Amino acid sequence: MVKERLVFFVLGVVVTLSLLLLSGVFPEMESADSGGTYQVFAEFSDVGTLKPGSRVAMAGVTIGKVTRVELDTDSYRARVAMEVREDVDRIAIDSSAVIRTAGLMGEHYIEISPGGHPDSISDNDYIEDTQSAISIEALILRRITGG
Amino acid sequence: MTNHSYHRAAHFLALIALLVLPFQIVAASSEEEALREYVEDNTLDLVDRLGKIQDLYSEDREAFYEEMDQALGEFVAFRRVAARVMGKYARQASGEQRDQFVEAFRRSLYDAYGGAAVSINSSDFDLAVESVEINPRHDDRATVNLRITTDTGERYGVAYSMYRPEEGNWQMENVIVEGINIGLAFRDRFEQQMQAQDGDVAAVIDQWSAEAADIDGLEDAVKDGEASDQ
Repeated sequence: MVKERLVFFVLGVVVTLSLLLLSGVFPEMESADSGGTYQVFAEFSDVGTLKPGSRVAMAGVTIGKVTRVELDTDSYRARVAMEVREDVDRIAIDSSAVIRTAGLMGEHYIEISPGGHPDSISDNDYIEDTQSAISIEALILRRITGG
Repeated sequence: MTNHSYHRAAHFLALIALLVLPFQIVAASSEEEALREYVEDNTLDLVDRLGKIQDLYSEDREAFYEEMDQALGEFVAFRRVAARVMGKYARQASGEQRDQFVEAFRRSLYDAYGGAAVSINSSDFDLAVESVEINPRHDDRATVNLRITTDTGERYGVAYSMYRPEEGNWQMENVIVEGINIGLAFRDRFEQQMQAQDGDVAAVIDQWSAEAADIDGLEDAVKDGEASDQ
């Protein structure tokens, strides 16, 4: 009887903690893990499978994540918002944002290729030089249709 | 201030906005139109010039590169392009090394253009500027989209990234061909060479310079071009 109560108690605690975590009651736990971040934007003509949560890396090391992917209805290009770790604060303004594929058929992610300009990107700045996702299907289609 | 005064002020501001807005739009569009003409003229001039000097490539390499320098020297922002290619390593290179790389890179580009010039006929394709967009965040940067159509009907999209210095004309600082960022492709090549040379930026620049110097006549042509610029 006591054992059964203990099991229910533990289960109840786990479920309650899970619900609290899901509802965002403990946001400070996340920030304690990730530290501060700043926001950076980039525009692409094709984002492939990039989505919120996709990783942002530099030299293969994760430095942030994609927070938003939306269509700019003026330019009809995709605008991507990224959260970058605050300690990565010397990204040159002539850096490039490249959409790469993890492995041959893996998920898309953003790789920041650092530039050499002495000035650095600040909060809400745009990385102007980009390389969109390269679609193998589009390349094959182009070969077939000849245009 | 009374309600009546507020309304009058609001109407006045709205009127000013209505009067000013069209001028801003016209200014932006005329700037884009001027850039379109500038790029169109320069690109067509380059294609035309390449067509005329095709034979020089095999007959007089030095004269060929002199022509190339005249055609591209003003239109391409070689210093910015080279800095883009060096990427993060530009910060660890000395001013002298950066100058050396600008020259080496310019020479290697001329060689690439030279190779293309002997294999392509200007009558084989049609070139048109499709659109021009001044960067809404930086009015000294713009993208010019061109469409190349070959005589066999194949179509290729080319985008020039343009930069306008404080003084002088717009200059090209990058090219994107069919979605491939050429500046980034060169940066990847530089990065690979840095890894092969164990991070020795001087060795990579020397290697790049040595490869460019191997091209017959190019060194003298570039030097002559620089002398005529001064």
